[in-house]
Formats: sequence, C-alpha cells, structure tokens
Amino acid sequence: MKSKVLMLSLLLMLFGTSAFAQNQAKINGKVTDAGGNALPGVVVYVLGSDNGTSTADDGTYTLNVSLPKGKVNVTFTAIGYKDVNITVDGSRKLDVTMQDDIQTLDDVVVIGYGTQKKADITTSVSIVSTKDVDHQPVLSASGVLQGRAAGVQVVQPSGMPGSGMVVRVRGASSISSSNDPLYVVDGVPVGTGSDAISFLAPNEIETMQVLKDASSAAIYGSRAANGVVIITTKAGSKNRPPVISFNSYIGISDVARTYDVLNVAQYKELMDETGIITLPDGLTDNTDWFDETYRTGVNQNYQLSYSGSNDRTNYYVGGGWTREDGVIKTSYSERYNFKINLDTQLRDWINFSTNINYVHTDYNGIIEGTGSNRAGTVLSVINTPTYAKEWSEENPAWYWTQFYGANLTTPAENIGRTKYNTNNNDRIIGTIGATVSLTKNLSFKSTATMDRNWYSGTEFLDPIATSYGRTQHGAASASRSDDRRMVYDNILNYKLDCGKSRFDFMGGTSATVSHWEQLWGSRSYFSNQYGNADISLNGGNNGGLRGQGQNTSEWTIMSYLARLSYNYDDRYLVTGNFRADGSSKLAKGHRWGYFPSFSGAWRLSNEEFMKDIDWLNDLKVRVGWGQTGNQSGLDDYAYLQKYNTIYYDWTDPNYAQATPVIGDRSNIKNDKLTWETTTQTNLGVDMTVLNNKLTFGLDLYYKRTTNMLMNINLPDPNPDIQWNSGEMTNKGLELTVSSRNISKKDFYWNTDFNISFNKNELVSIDLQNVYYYARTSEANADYIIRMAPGEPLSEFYGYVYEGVDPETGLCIYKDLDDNGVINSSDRQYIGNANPVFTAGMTNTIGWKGFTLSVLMTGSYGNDIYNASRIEMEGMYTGSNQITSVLDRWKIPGQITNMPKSNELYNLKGSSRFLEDGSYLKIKNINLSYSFETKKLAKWNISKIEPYISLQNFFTFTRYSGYDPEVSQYSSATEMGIDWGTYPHVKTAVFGINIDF
Amino acid sequence: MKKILYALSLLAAASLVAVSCSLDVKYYGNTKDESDIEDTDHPYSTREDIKGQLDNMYNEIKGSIQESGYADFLIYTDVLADNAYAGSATTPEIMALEAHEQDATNYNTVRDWNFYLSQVSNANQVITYMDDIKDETLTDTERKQWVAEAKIWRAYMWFDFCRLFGDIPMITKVPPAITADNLLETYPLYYPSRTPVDSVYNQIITDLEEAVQYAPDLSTSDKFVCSKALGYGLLARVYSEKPKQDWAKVAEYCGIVEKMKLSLVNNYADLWSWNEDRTDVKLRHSSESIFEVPYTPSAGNWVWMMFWRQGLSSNLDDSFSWAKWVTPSKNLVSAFENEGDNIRLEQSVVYDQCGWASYNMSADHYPFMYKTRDNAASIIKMRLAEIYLMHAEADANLGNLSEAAQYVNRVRTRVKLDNLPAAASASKESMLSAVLKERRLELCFEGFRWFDLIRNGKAVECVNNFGNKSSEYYDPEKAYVGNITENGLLMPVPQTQIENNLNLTQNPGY
Repeated sequence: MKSKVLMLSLLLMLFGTSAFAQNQAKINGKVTDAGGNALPGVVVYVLGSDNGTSTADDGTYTLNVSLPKGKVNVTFTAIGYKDVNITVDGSRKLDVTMQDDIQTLDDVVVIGYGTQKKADITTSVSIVSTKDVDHQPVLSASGVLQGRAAGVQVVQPSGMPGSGMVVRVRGASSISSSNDPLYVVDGVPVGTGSDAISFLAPNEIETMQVLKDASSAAIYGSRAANGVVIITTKAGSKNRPPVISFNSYIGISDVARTYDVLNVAQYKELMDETGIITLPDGLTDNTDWFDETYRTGVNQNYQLSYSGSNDRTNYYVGGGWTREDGVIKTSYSERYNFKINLDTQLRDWINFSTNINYVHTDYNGIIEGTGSNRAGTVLSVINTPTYAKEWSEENPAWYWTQFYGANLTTPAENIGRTKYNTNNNDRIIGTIGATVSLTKNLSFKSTATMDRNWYSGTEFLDPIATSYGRTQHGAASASRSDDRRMVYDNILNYKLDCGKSRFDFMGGTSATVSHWEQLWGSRSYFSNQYGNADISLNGGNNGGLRGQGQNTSEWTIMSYLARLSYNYDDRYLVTGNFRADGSSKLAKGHRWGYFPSFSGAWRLSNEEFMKDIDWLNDLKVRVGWGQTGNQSGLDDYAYLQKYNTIYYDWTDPNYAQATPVIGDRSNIKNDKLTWETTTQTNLGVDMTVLNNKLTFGLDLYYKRTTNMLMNINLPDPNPDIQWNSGEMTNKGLELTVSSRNISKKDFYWNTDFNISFNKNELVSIDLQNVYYYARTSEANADYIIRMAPGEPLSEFYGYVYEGVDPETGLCIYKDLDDNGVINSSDRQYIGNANPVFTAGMTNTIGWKGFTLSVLMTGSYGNDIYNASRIEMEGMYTGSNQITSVLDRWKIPGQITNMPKSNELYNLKGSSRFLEDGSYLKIKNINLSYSFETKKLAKWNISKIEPYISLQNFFTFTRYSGYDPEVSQYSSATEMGIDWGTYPHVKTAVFGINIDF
Repeated sequence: MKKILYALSLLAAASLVAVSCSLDVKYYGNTKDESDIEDTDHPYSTREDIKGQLDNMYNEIKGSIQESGYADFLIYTDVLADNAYAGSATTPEIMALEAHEQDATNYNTVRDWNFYLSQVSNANQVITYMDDIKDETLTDTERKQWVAEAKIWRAYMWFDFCRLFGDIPMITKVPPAITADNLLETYPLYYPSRTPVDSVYNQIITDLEEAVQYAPDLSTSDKFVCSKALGYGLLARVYSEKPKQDWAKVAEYCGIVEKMKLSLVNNYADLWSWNEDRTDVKLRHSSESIFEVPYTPSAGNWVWMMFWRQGLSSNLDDSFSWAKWVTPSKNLVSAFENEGDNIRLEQSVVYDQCGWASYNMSADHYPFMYKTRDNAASIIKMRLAEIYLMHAEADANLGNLSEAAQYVNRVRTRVKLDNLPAAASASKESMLSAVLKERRLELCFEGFRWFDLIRNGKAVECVNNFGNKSSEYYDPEKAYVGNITENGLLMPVPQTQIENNLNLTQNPGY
C-alpha cells in the first residue's frame, strides 16, 4: 500500500498533472457543410469520454461538458467529412463548418523518413485513395493500387487465390533485377514484390503513397529504382472517439467464362482423321470437365479492431481472418492477421512507438502454366475427352487412365497431384522506435525492427491414385526456411524558420542485416496399400542420395542518408536528397554507391501577379532529377568465385567412405560487379481550379538505366556471369484529373481519372546480343519473346501468319527472306506486350446514405500471345479441342481460317496466336449504405455500413481467352503470355462495416 | 533537464556513427577466398581435389549420357537412317529429325550441342589443373593415367560432336576467370569460333596416341573406365572416318584391341537380357564389353522409359502410357527376316500391346526398341563385335577379303547364322556391302547406322530412296521424307548459340 502511494505521488510529480476542480460548461451551435447546408446526424462528443450527442435535422446540437482541467477537446465527426476538433474552455456558442473528406493541399503526405505537406511536395508522388479499400474483395494489399494511381501499372496475372499482383511504377527499369517497387510499411522497408505486403489486410491501410520519380525515391537509394510504395497503417487517434470496428464480407466467385469442347463423336472424327490415336467405337459423353473442375469459389473476411487514445497513448489493436476458396478445387488462400500499433508520448520530450504485426498465411494451388501433357490443370479441362470419367473402371483407386495412347491425364488427376501439398507462411514484424525532441526544432528518432519470415511447405504425390505417383512410387518433400532481418534506423530532423525561409533537414543512418536459412528433405517409395499411407516424409522408404539439404545466406546493406528542403514564402521550394549505400553483395572496393537527387517547385499561384485569378486555387510547377539503384538482382555473394560440390554415391561400395570434393565453377566471378543505376528526370505541373473542384496533375519523365545488371549466358559450357552493361530507357507521361462534379446536400459525384503512357526501349547490351524467353508449347521449340537492342522488353517474335492455304489446308507463313522455305530465319517481331497506355477511373456518387463507387481500368495497345490456343485448337496431339476446330480445312478449295489437322511442323510460334490484349474493365462496382448515425447512437453504434461489391464483372475486349488481364510470368522480360494460366474470376460479395 | 538533453544529443550523434554494420558476411559454400595466398586462380591443390574432378567426369557421364549420348544419339544414328521411326508423333523435335526437316531451333540439337561442350569441359577440369597440383601423395603414374583417361573421353566427345555438327568450338582448357581487365584476352576463350574438322581430328589423334600409353589397362570387371582398349578402339573409329581415313591403321588398332582380354559373349541374348529371377541384368561388364556405362536396379537409368517398359519392375505399366521413341522400322525388321536372323531380331525388337499406334501398325502388335529393357541395363558404347566388324571393314577396304569374311563370320556364328556366302567375297564392293549389312543387324540401336551410311557414301541415297519401292531403303512409313543433299548430313548449329556467340557460323543449308 505504501509503495502504491509512493508510486502515485511519483507519477503525479513526473507528469505534473493536478487540478481536481470540476467545471461545467454548455456548448451549442449549428453544423453546416461548405455550402452552408445544415448537416444532421453529425456526432459531437468530448474526446476521451463517452459524453456525446448528434446534430438534429436542422444541424443544431447542445452538449453539456465537464471541464476537469479547465478545457476539453470537442470533436465533430460525420461520414464523408473531415473531423473537426475544437478546444473548449467554457460555455459558448460553437458553429462548425465541415469540409468534404477529400485530399487537400494541407494534408500531410508521408515521404521517405519524414512527412511533408502536400502543397510543399516538389517531386512526383501519387496519393492513393484508400477510402473504400475495405469494401473490395481483394486479398492482397497491392490490389488496392490498381487503377488508382497514374504511372502505376498493376496487373493481376492470374486468378489463383493469393496470387500476387505485378506492380510496375513507370515501366520496367531492369532485366535481371526486380522491377517491383519497394514497400515501406510504417517506416520499415518490408521488401519488394507483392508478397512483401501480403501480411497486410487491406482494411488496415490508412494511407498509401507511391514515390514515383527518382527525386522522391532516391532517399531509399539502391532499393528504389522501381519506385517506393509507402503505406501507413491505422492508428488510434485523438481526433476520434475510442472505437470498436467490425468489418466483414462474404461472397462468391465464378470463373469468368467457359469454352465449348468437342463432344465424343466430334472428337473421334478428328482422331480418325489425324490417325494420331485409334479410338474404339461406342464411346459416349460422360463428363463435362468444366463442371467437374470448376466450382463456385467462396470469399470470406472478418476483421475486428479497437482503437482510441488517452492523454498520452494512441492505440490500435486489430485482428482478422480472410479466406478465399478458388474456383478450381483444392486451391485456396487464407490469412490470419494480428496487429498492434501503440504510440506513447511518455514525456514531453520522448515518444515511443511500437508496431507489432503477426500474420499467418496458408494456401494451395494447382499445376498451371503448362500444357495438359505436363499435368497443366487449366488446359486439361479442355484437352480431356468427354468419354473419360474421374476414376478408372479397371482400377477404381486410380484416376482415369484409358486414353488409347493420347498422353493425357484428367483435370481430376492433375488436381490430385497437388492436393496434399501445404504452404504455410508466418511473419512477425516488430518495430520499436523512440523519438526524442531535443529542442523545439530538433528531434532524433531511432528505430529497430525485427522482420522474421518463416515458410514451411510439404508436398505429397499419391503413389496409388496418380499415374505419375505410381511411376515414382509416391514422393514426399518438405522444406522450411527462416528469413531473419533486422533494420536499424537513426534519423535526425531539424527545422529552421527564419521569416519567409523555412529549412527542413533530415540526416541519418539505416542498416539492414539479413540471414536466411533453409532446410529441406524428400523421400520416395511409399506403400501402395491404402490405410498405410503416412503422407509425410516418414512414409517413404527411399531417402534418395542427397535427399536432404541446407542452404544459408547472408547480406547486409549499410546506408547514410540526408535531405535538405528549403521553402521560401511557399513560393519557391527546393529539396535535395543524398544517400550512400554499401552492400555486402559486391566486391571490396566496389561496395559503395551514391545516389543524389534534387527537385524544385515554384508555386505560381502564390505569386502576387497570380493572386487576382479567382478561378485558380493552386498552380505549381515541379522539376526533379535523381539517381536510384537496383541491387535486388545481385546474388547474395555475386562477386565471389563459387564452386560446385562433387558428391559421391555412397550406396556404391567404392564410395562408401568418400567425402565431398570441390567441383567446377558454378559462376564466373566478376570482381568489378556493381549496382545498376537509374537516372530519372521529371517535369510536373499541379493545378487546382474552380474552388478546389477540379485538380490536375501532369508529369513527364525520362528514365534511363545504365550499368544494367545482366546475367550473361556465356556460350556453353561456361556458367553465367553477372555483368554490368547496357542501357534501357522509359519515357512517359501521366495525367491525373480529380473532379468534384457535384457536391450538394445529400448528393455528390466525384470522378478520379488517371492515364499513363510509357515507352520502354532497350538501348544497348554487351557480350550477349540477343536473349530469348518463353518457350510456350511442346508443339515447337520456338521461343516467342526475343530481347535485343532497339526494342522494348517482352516483344513477341515469330512467324507471320497469313491465313490458311485453301489448296493444302496448311498455314501460310510469310517467307521473309524469299528463299522458298519457311525456316527460323523467317521470323520477325510480331507484337508487343507493353500497352501504349493504361488508365483508371473511379466515379463515386453519394446520395443520402448511399454511396456508389465504380472503378474502371483499361489498357490499350498491348498484345497477348495466347499459347493456350495452341493446345486448344492446334490439333497436333490426341487431346480434345474446342469447337472452333470444327471449321478446320478438309477439302481442297475450302476457305477457312482453321488449318488442316495434324500438321505438326506447320504449327509454328506465329502471329496466328497473337491477339489484341486491349481492354476496358469495370473492375469494381461498390454500393454501400450508411445508416444515420443519430438513430444508432442510442445503441452505442456510430456506424453501420452494409455494402455489395462486384469485382471483375464486366470486361470489354477482343481477346478470346479467359481474361485479357493475364500474364503467366511476372518477369518484365516475358509478360503477356497466356498459357493455361489460372483463369480470372468474377466475384460478388456482401459486406458490412460496423463501428461501436 | 538541459544536461539530459545534451547527453542525449551526444548519444544520438554517437549512435549515428556507431550503428554501422559490417559489410563482410559469411559465405556458406565452396569459394576461393581472396585471402588464400596462392599463385593459382582455382581452389584445387590436393590429390583428392584432382581425383574429384576425374570422378566427377565419370559421374557426369553416367548422369548425362542417357539423354544426349543415348536417347538423342539413337535418333541421329537410327532414326535419321533406315533403322527406326522417331516414335512419338507429338514430339516435334524428333519428328522433324525423322523427316530430315530439323532447323537451327531444334531443341534436341540445342541440348546435345551443350552436352558435348559440358562433357569436354569436365575432362578439361582434370587436364587443365593437373599441373598445378603440388601434392606429393599424387604419384607420377596417377598424374599421367588420369590425364590420359580425361583425354580419351574428351577425344571421344569431340569425335561424335564433329560427326554430328562438323566444325566445332574446340576448347582445350578451362578458361581463366574474367575480370574487367582481361576481358579482351579471355574473350576468344569464352566465345570460341569453330575449329575445322581436320584440326579437331588432328588433336583427337594426338591426344589418343599419347593417352593410350598411360591409360589403365582394360579391366575384366569394370568397363566404365577410359582404358587403353577404349583409346585404341577410338583410334580405329577415327581413322575409319573420311577426314583421316587410313584403313591400315584401323586394322592395326583393331588388332591391338582384339589381343586384350576380350571375348564375344557366347549367347547374344545375354548382352541384353535379365537374370532368371528377373531382378537384375544377366551380365554387366561382360567379357565382350570395352566401354559401358553401368546402372543397377537401385541406382538405375531412367532412359528405359523412352523405349519400352521397366522390365524388372513388378508394375510393368510404369510410364507405359505414352508413345515411345526409336520405333523399329519395317525396313529393319524385313532386313532381319530376309537374313533369317531371328536371334538378333528378338533381342533388338519386342512386340507388345500398347494404347497407341502409329506408322500404320496395330496397337496389339507394336514394335519397340528392346536393347534397353530395364533400368539396370548398361549403356554399352563399345564392344568387341564392333571391333571385329570394323576390322572387317578395314580388311575389305584393304582388299583382304577372306580376312574380312573371317571377322564377319565370328559375329554371325554366335547368332547361329551361316558363314557369309562365297559371293560376298567376290569383290571389295560385295564384301563392304556384306559388312555394312552385318553391322546394321549386329549393332542396330547402338549408335552406328547413320555414320556407317555416311562413311560408305550412302546416307543421301538412303534418305532419298525411302519412297522408292525398288530400293533396299524403301520404307512405306518414311516414304513421305523429302530429298536431302550432302548438307543434310550435318546438324544445324543451334541458333541460340550463334546469337550468343557471333564467332560461330552456321552449317550450309540451314
């Protein structure tokens, strides 16, 4: 007891709180919107208490408050408007005007290692609207970016649950390195690629910004060549009452389209014609493989959080569960997420922040991206003849095997190949930071982050049911990996105000240390008796020669960084960044890279001579230049000469006592290896006009990557070498228009539109002159993408198809060298996977409590190589085909576009399979209704908002495949290929958000 | 309070400097650390190190020969010729080869080009680094013997590489590390141009003649050794081919091999069949074998699945659901039948029921290549019967017709065939023709036929007469094959290799 008293008095002394006096006050007034209309249903409450009321129909309110410390904060809050927070120290009349909740120039934007007012930004930063992200059935936080930011191209490459997004900021700047932006969550770089932020539930995102040009991103130096996506997650706020939020949606999804395949009679006719296989008479149609394979997917999401603040601490605690069952059986993805954000102003001069994220994800997929001859599930739905059934009739424990010589397995079996597989990921990101305010203008922030990522996966191949499993006698494998990363940041901030001049200085260090380990094992020869099948490693008798192994790898980056911003009278703004990065991946003497950037802006609208222009609210011209680096493509020990290990077969008595020895070179070392550097120049104009109703943003950029990191395939038999060479450019234009078309009482309509043009060109490369990618069919050996100087990445290369010869039924290809034969020298560039432009538009219409939001995305000028069609209508194997082959050429003179069957050499990688991939999509339609707060207040509910959301429902395109938004591969060098890729789905969800 | 702030400022300033981490991280694998002070640029210094390179050469033979050195090789030697059809109608690379329509993107030729270069490189690991090994436990005999083994294997690979592609990039040692400074000097080593066939043959002969002095003697229990016998056998093969043809030398070198501890296996079937319990092959490292790559039931080959079934398995349906390669041709089967050669026909061709059928044959009675019939079967690359028949060919060319007949008859006697008729000995031409036929029947599916035809100037004639009913090469299932010229005898240099290495040129006709 004594100690408690002592403690209490100590605390009182420390915090200096006193005054137990109680004063009462009465405040009243009227709340209106910017147009002077009365706002009913606005919640008015005393911050940090449960004392509150809401405005009446005429917008008036009365609130009795107690004033324990002589003053209190009163907050006004309503959906669609910005919170208003006013300090009250006695009874008074308080009329409040609430502003629409849209981005304004006074809003603070998070930039690297600091914040800036939007008006002061001198660089190219996209602010992504996160308003209704929790209404969309997207599992991945990167999905939020789609269609919402100019210059940011987001493609969902496949419909597989949990599959990541391909995100490109201003085109691809690298060939061997990653082209994904760096993600920074709550100040911590969490990696590149959409997997890096798969730990975030989209509804946890408070703000999202994309640093697009080098002058903004250069503060992240060698990690920022592809832009930086900065995400801030939700935190408790003094401006909001404590709240318990519950968000949930439940929905269904279906495959976006199906195909008509040949029935058994048509199939037999085709096979009899080709003679590839001989089918018996009397087969009947038994199975619709679409029905058998596809199902209605189920999407569910439940998120619960509570947040709030008291005097010195803001807190946000959230957790949830999300699950998506895919439209193909056994494919699913689920996530358990948990998060604490805690921010404590422990003393006036020191603030501690704590963020802890823990997330578990698990998923399973199917075999995709390959033909049905290699168990590709998506194509086998089409290629499996309809006479087949799920289970074999001779061996009921086997999947169907009788294909009369065609090399086929059913979709059921292909799914069965992977159905026992498991994938589990657990990630903890914990950050503790302390900010010390040394003086009013000088602060120091030190943070330490532990980012730990565990993966465990198992595979099991059924030794009985699957034919491949019977060949292998079953097989199991398991692997575990542990990625342990520490990030230490120390940042000093200094502000100086001298009259019209304002300086902001930031300087500091950042260190990242990574240690990665993996352990794996495999066994085969499992019992072929059911009931005796332990489907783990333990069930297999043969551990193989090297049936287990371990990998370990480390890297470190050390950085020094600084930024100086100067603002003169809000008219002239200049910012300079500098970062030095040292990487363990490079040879001594070549480890350090230096990344400077400069940017400036002129706010013309603040000049005297512009003051009189009424319709102009803001006009700013920006210019920036900077350099960033890319090191993600470097091997962890790229500069070292590494050697293979020679192992001996210890089961051979000759080698029972053998020990391993050093083998030949596994790489060719390059002791001058260094980062690739991207230099970017940016020119931008921001303009706001007509009483802030219309906002334009225009950016022009020129990006030039030099010293490109290339994996040179030395001529056989030498291993590859990593080599800096060559140059690539991206030029582009981005336009953003935001318009508040209508904003009246009870009715508003906003439009946000963005369009981005980008032109990519590989200017030069060294040593190796040409690269080929994407061998997409076993019908021929043709690589369909050729990369060479003077051309963009992902350009299709092949024969020029000129139709079907009515006399022979063969495809006619253009004889480019006019030598009378069609051979590999008759190929040319035939298409390009890069769009001329991509665009996105969001229209939001509000009427009373209803909000309708429609997101459209589009892409123009890109081609898709539909390799799936080779398997669906190539007629070169014993597999079933789609009904378009009924038009095939049969007799001389017949005019058709479908060639003769079974002409293998005539089936070339050509423009025959190239299609226009342009599209316009209504990506999302979202309708929500917000119940009037006033009526709910008595239930202690501040918000009930049910909604329906339709994802991917309408697509306008000439593309014949499942969906034009497709890419089997995510590498920038081989985009735009559809090859048995998991099809996209349409999703409809019903959801509800409730705040207590 | 102010003091605290100053202290904190100092702390902050200190931590800015102090929180820097070391950029030296540990590598968990084999490397040659820069701190190793030695005058070599490689990590091999002990006897074990160099022995490892030799062991690795053999291990890599065992692993890689199945695809490129056997399955693909038989496509060239037997499918390009009249012995076999490609077999798998849906595998475009081999169908193109069957049709003699291969082009520079043909994936088989691409991977096989790489195979030869890799095999040569493995041998070069031994040859290049041997002189740098200062380890005294490494004896002089070992040094010479191991280099000899590597040179024999390298010569073998160069020989087949040349026969398929003509001029080849002949790499004689491992190129040194590339640095930005030495790029110009090392460039031709990493981007070699093609060495003319004649020079390659000269190098092969020089290497083999040196290597046979130091190579190990033929073992009677282990034929997976690049022995003297293989060295001399290769010399005989090399001198039989056109670029350096010298039949006296062929006869001489065959004679040397024949004097080694070798004898024909009494029963031809024993070379290919399994034991009574059908648990393993009947013979491995047989008395007839000169060089073979051995496999066992537990460490088996996989290449059986390209041809027929896994004959030792309890589940004969393993991987028997798809079309097999190297389907014996109608022309070959009639050649056996016309000769009354049932023993060799039964060991070369097996008829089985299958779920597919092509080439107008019945799925209930469909032929398969039978010389690799299980996963324990060795890949026999040289055996005494071939030496006899090579000797016969040399004698025939030298005009020693009765000697030639003797060698042929040794092979015929084993398979219960009558000696060659007198008519065969009537002239050099008739004897050559008899030898060629005997080689076809004895050595089909062992990697000889196409080169035999080329050597005898009959390859173009063969291909261009597939559709000619009056020709001995007539085969109704190959009648569709278009005419070729001499250009068609060499494979195209892979397009990807040419684009990678501008110093490479393409063969005429591609």
